[in-house]
Amino acid sequence: MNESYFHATLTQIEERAKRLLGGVPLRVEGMDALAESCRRELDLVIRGAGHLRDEPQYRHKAVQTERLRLLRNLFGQLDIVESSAVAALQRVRTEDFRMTRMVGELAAECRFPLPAPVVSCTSQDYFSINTGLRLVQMPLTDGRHLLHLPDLVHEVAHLLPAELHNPRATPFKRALQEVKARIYAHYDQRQADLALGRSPLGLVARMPVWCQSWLKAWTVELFCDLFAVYAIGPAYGWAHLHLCLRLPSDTYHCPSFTETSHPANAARTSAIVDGLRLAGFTTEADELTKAWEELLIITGERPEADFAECYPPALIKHAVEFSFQGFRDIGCTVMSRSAMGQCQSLLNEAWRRFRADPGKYPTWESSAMNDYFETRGR
Amino acid sequence: MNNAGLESSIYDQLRSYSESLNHYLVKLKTEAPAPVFAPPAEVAELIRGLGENVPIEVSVQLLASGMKERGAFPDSTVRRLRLALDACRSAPETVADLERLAQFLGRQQAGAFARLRRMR
Repeated sequence: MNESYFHATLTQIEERAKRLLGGVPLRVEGMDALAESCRRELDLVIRGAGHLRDEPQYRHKAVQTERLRLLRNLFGQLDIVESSAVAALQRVRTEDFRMTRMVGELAAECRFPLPAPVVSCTSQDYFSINTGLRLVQMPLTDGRHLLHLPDLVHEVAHLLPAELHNPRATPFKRALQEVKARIYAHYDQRQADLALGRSPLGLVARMPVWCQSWLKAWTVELFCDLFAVYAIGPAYGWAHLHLCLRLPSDTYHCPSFTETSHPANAARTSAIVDGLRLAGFTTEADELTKAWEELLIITGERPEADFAECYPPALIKHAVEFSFQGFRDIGCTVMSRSAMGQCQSLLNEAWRRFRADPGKYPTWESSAMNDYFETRGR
Repeated sequence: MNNAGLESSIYDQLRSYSESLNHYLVKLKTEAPAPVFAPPAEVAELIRGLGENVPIEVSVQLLASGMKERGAFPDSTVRRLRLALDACRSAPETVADLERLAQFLGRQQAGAFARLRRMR
C-alpha cells in the first residue's frame, strides 16, 4: 500500500463523511440529540481523515501499521453512523417521536443520571441500543403497543457500563465489578473442589465456559434486567415473561462449548423475581413466579442437570443485591406503588389490565395511548 | 434477543483505546526518544485495567479474558508496561510492548466489529 493509495482512500472517507453530513437534517424535532451526535461523529471522521492524509508524521514509513489501524477505525465509525443514525434520521415517523418522548420520561421518572437516548422504530430484530450514538432501535409495530415497552429500560441501562469516563456511571460499574470478583472466586473454588474428588470430566470442562459467560456478558445483561425492575417494577417482569412466551428458547440452557451472550431465561426470571421482592413488590413477585411455572408446564421444560452449577443461586443473589446498591448509588429512584410517574404508571396499568381482562385490553390500550400522547402534543 | 447493547459498548470502548494507543505510538515512533513514559490517560487506564483481576470496563474484561484464553498476549508484557507506567520511565522494550498491545487490541476490535455488524 503506497502513499497515493492511502491518500486516495482517506480522501474517499472524507468525501463520504461530508456527503453524509450534508444528508443529516438540520432540525429533526425531538431527535435533535441524535442529529447532533451524528454531526459530531462525522466531523471527527472528516478531521481524522484529513490528519492521517496530510500530517507529515503519519506518512513516516515506520508508522504505516498504526496509520492503517486508525484508517480502519474511521471506516468502522462511518459504517456505523451511516447504517444506524443517518438511516434513522432520514426515516423519522410519529412512532419515533413518541417513543423518544416516552424513553425520556421513563429516564426522568427514575432519575437516570445520563442523557436519555433517542428511539427509532427501524429495527429488523428486537430492541437494541447503539451506546455510542445513544440510539435505541425497536420494531415498528412494538411502538404501537404498550406491553413490550418496559424493555426500553433494559436498553437504556446499557448506557451505564458503556461509559468510559463519566463518574456518574461509576458506582453502577463498581457494583458490576464486585459481582464479577465473586464470580471469579466462586468458580475458582468450585474448580479446586472438583479437582480434589472424582468429578465428571464434562463438568470440569464446562465450568470455564460458564465463568467466562458470566464475566463477559451475563452479569451485564442481568444488571440491565435488574435496573429495569427497579426503574419500572412489575411491568418489566411481565414483559420478560411475555418475551419468553413469544420467542422460541431453551429456558434452562447451559452452554457446553462456547460462551453465550445472555443467561438462560430461567436464570433471568429468577433474578427478576428476587429483584421485585427486594424492591418491595412481594405480591407481584409471587404472581410472576406462578405465571412462570404455568408457562413451564405448557412448554414441558425442566432444569438441565448442570443448571445450578451454571447459574449458582448465590451469584444470582449477588447480582440482585449489588445492582440494587449500584442503582441507588447513581442517584436513581426505586419505583414504588406510592410513587409512580405517569409513564411508569401507564406501563404497569397496561399489564394489570391485560392480565385482568385480555379481551377488553386492546380497546383500553388504544384509548390509553391516545390520551397519553395527546397530552404530549402527539 | 440480541446483545447489541453490550457489543456496541465493547466496540466503542475498544475503538477509543485503539485511537489513543495508535496516535501515541505514532508520536513515540516519529519524535525524538524520551526517557519519560507518560501515555495518554486512556492508554494508562487500559494498561492498569489489564493488570487487574477484575477490570471495571466491559471491553478490558474481554481483552483480559482473550489474553488468558489464547495466550495471545502474555502477562509479562502487561507487567512490564505496568512497571514502566508506575516508574514513569520507558524501558527498552516499551515501544515493542505497546505495538504488541495495539495489535492484540486491533484483533479484538475486529471481532467486536464483526459481531456488531452481524446484528444489523
